[in-house]
Amino acid sequence: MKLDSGISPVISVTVLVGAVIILGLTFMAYSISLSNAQSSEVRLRNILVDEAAKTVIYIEKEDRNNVNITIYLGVTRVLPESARYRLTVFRANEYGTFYGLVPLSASEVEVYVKPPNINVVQPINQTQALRTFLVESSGNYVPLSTLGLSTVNTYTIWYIPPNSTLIKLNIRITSIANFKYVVPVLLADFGSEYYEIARIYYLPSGWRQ
Amino acid sequence: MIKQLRKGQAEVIGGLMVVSVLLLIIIPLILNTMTSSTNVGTRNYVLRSQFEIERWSERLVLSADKTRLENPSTVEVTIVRIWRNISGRSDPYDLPRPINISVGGYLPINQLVNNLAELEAVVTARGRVIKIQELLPPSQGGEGGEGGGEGGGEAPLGLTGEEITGGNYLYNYSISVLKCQMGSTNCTTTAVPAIYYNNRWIANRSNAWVDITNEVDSGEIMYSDLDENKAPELVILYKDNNNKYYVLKDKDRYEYTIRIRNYTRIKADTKLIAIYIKLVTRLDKTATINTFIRATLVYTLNNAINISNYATLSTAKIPQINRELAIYEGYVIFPVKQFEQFSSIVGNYPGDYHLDIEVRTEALSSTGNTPFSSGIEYLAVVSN
Repeated sequence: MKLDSGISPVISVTVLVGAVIILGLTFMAYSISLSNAQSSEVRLRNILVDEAAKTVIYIEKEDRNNVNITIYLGVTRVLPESARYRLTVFRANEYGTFYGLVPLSASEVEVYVKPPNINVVQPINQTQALRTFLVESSGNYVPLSTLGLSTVNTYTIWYIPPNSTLIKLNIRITSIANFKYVVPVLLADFGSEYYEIARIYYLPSGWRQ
Repeated sequence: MIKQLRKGQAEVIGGLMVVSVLLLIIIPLILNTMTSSTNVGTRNYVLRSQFEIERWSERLVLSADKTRLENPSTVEVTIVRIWRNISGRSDPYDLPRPINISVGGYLPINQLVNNLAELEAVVTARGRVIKIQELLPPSQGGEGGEGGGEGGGEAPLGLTGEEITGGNYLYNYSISVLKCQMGSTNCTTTAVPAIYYNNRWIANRSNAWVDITNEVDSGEIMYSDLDENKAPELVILYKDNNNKYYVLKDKDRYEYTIRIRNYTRIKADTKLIAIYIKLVTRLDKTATINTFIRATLVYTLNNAINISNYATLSTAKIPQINRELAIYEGYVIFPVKQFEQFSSIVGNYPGDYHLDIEVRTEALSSTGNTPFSSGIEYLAVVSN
């Protein structure tokens, strides 16, 4: 009778300690995995912020004839380090809204890039809209698939210091006749995903308000 | 009972220990991710803001003879690309090697193109596009540009930078001295308008801007930029008995009148004319002085519009102040149509008008040993 009451506390303490250890370890593993997931998200954000801060995109010139509007974009970097980007071109009627972006198709825009050559049409890369992210007005990265797209036309852009990169967009006037802005977007690629780092809403000169 | 209480305490202590251990693990992890993200963000934004400051500090100007691009800015400017316009076709041209223009330095245009007309724009390494057309003074910017079109006179207070004349832009005009008086001495015959630009005294003599540095007393440089803002002022030089030029100045009284020929174009239906001027005067701290400024637009001898006589401000009394400097800057707005006599002049004689500026400074109270002098840093006329 005495023996029974002596064993029972040892067993119960062992069981309890074991349960606490198992619970503790489980919780620790969970929090570590959560924190890892968060830190990789933070790392990605940091890299994007880093790229966005270092990348400068500007308009160099605009030309026009009866058929096309030609916009020359310059790309340079705060620090002289080589970089690779992707470019995609949209049109829009409202400034700043992600959901109003409409992509320009291959027949509506021709892209030329220097380097390598401003007179040679840059080949198109089809990237999955699900893996291409633009910044929505809330500041979050949203995949282009939310616009109902399955693929997006992108063009590879190289920046090789010291000269700034020159991009020539030859846009059919008819394709933007019902739109206000031409919206070139520069993307940085991470593995097989593409994230926006710069966007310009360009109102062609003489375009209606 | 006591045994049960101890058991309860142990459970609480055990629980606290477990919670503490968990907190010790989680809190540093969160703090670590937060600080690393803040650090990276701050560093990059500092880098970018510094870049943007430098980028928007970049400035190039065209030399008076239009053969050089000069860098008056506070940062080195690196040209990486130019836009050339040959036979109406505009093309970008990447320079084989970027060209640096150091602070205060210059680049001969012929290192970029054969002649200035070919050069449409230069692109800097920081991404500034500097259009050559915008570097040209307004009178060279295109004939007939004032006819109510782009950049023409809108409301006077909507004055644009391109309409302001000062520094080397004065070289585009022929300026003469109509009157020069220093105390009781008349100095009109030897007086010339001059500015000290790029370490040279450049004067308008016989309708041409010439370098007269060797003829000017070396001590006169101190009167070339009275407010020391690196923007030289137009001053009047006169010749002394020893055949050296000196800046017009006196302890009691001096006055001068300059004429800028064909300075502005007035349309027949002009209703309002405004003159904008910055006049810097060097004083003696102990003196109270009167500075009189009169601006007149002159078509012919008998057809002149005395702007400041009828407008709001022509005389400024400058009391004793603690600095040896007084700056007058502002508009003189003249509603021509309110005055029948001037309205009819404008209606009958539209066209190019000379601008006469008369400056008279005299001491009202006792003066010290410092002679006072003045210079015009910039001016503009707008009309609509």
